Amino acid sequence: MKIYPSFRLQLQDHIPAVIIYYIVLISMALLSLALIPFMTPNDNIHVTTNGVTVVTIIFAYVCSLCAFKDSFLLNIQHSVSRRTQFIARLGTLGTVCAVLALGDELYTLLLTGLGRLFPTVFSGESLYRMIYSYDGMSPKGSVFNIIFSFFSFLAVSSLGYLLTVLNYRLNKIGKVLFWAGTPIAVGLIASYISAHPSVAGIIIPFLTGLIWALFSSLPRMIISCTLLTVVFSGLTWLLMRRAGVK
Amino acid sequence: MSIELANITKSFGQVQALRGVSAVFHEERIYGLLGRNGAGKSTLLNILTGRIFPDSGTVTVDNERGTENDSAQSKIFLMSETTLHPDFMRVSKAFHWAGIFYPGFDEGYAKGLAQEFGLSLKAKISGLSTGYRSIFKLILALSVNVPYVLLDEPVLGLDANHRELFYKRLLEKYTAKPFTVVLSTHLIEEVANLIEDVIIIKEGEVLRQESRDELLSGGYTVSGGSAAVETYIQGKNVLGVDALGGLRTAYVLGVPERDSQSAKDLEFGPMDLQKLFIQLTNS
Amino acid sequence: MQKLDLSGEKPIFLQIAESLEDAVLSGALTEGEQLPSITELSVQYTINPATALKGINLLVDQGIAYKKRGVGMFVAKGAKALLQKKRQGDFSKRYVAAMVLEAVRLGIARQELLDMVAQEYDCAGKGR
Repeated sequence: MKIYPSFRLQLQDHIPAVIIYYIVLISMALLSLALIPFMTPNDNIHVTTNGVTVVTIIFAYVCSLCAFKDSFLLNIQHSVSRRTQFIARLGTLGTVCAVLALGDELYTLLLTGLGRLFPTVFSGESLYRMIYSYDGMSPKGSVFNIIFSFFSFLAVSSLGYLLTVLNYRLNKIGKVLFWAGTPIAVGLIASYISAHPSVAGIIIPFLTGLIWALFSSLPRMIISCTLLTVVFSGLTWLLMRRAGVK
Repeated sequence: MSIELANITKSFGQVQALRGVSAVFHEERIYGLLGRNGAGKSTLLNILTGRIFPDSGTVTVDNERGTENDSAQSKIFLMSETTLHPDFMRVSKAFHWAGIFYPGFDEGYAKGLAQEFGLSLKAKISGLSTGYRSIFKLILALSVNVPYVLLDEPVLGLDANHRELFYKRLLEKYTAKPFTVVLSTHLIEEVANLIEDVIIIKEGEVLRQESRDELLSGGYTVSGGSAAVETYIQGKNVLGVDALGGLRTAYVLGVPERDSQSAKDLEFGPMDLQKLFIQLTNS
Repeated sequence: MQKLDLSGEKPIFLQIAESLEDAVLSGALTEGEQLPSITELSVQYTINPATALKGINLLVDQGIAYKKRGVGMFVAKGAKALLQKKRQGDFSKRYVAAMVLEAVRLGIARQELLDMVAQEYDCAGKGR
């Protein structure tokens, strides 16, 4: 019965950030638009949405890294159980990712439109099209675009949230071990692999094959991202259910 | 209808904060949860409201499981020393959210109280002094209208005027429509007349749980010259003795024996709650 | 309403009862008049309502006050006379015993004490 209020509370956390994000993106586009009369053929200003999905992926990740503590404490103050908070979080996750996916597509369409008017300055490409080589600017393309973005955001956001809950549960020593230790471990493994071509010969093809298997087509990507989201969320619940107020 | 705690145990590392605590909070009564600093009162209240988990033991609210249960927990509101609201949140926003989570929250009443206490609705919670932070929280507690309201050191940092105002508003609410109040404090004297029932916690255990009247009628003070007092208290259940020069005051459990031979030249008086508490909780 | 003595010497409910009795005796509360409500009493003195109720019930038990369902507590008819009679009965225990004890402690002789009482009574009579 407190799921909806908790959902509203958790969603509220994200709204300002999302709004600012798109204001910044649109402002950059508008700024370029405003500068067009002053541009000479030599100026190489090109505003494109090629990378926007990637940037939004990073944004979604960062948003969820900040999402846990404040709303957890406030939810507890209002007598909301952890189970309810978790369910509400899933709703927030879905909603925010959907909004971002739509937002990105609208931004891409905006730039495509501007691109028709000022081809040298604007172009609307999408990450999806780039990866999956889908041709044409069609409504079908937009839908695929949105779906692709949505599921990538889901996976990335749930990972960010998992990490922030993990961080909350860890004590000081644990935090140092994890946040410093993980990059160090990755670095060590990477240098070991590059130093041992024989090992590299096994691992790299394996990894490449794995990524291909998981993400080579849109349906595969949807399934993989959904699986990742489920796993990350499951782990989040395990960490959250015994989280105490500090 | 009540909140029941059964055999609650909790340790923080090496320190055992609560050892097998059992207590009952009945409906519509004002309780004093009394204990010295570090006795375990706050830990108890935090476990009751699910903020932390006990090592063992159960919490039952109106015959329902109290842990991780929205409907049970929404009957309880805890105002504690730690502020769980985000720093940047304004008082008016906090009232707004309280209204969303608690259908019975009376925002008009809360705003009225804020004005009476001199709390600005626009203020950011992080910018409030200790006293005003307490005021903010106790306004929430008084406006939320749930059956069980728990107040952990509610008057921390409040000046005398505000303390008086708080007690009056609390009593007004209570007499208009009774609910359960648990006042957890070490300021015994102030709350002695407000509370109906007393739970004394000492070093993680419940020392006494009874009505205030029963507790006080179970003992008395006897004063006089040291020799006379010493004679009188032979064989009696004495909690403690105060000395001032050649005069003694003893705190005795039981019924005063005014007519006995040894009672000549001695003055008998009632025990007051603070004195009794001090005597009971001195190690 | 006078202040409460919070020293713990006399139970609060008793103080409330006596304070209301004093008001009836002095005429501040007349017969048929409504007594302060439990709410008023508990808020005024910042005491638990159960304590205030205990005090009022003492008056009801003695026939000094009665309850009108749904309205409140009122001073009973003949309450003043009742109280005077009761207090006359209590007078010796309340005032005389303490006075005599103090006089003995101070070494005042019996006749001296009686003379003091007579003198005081005459003065009070003149001043009435």
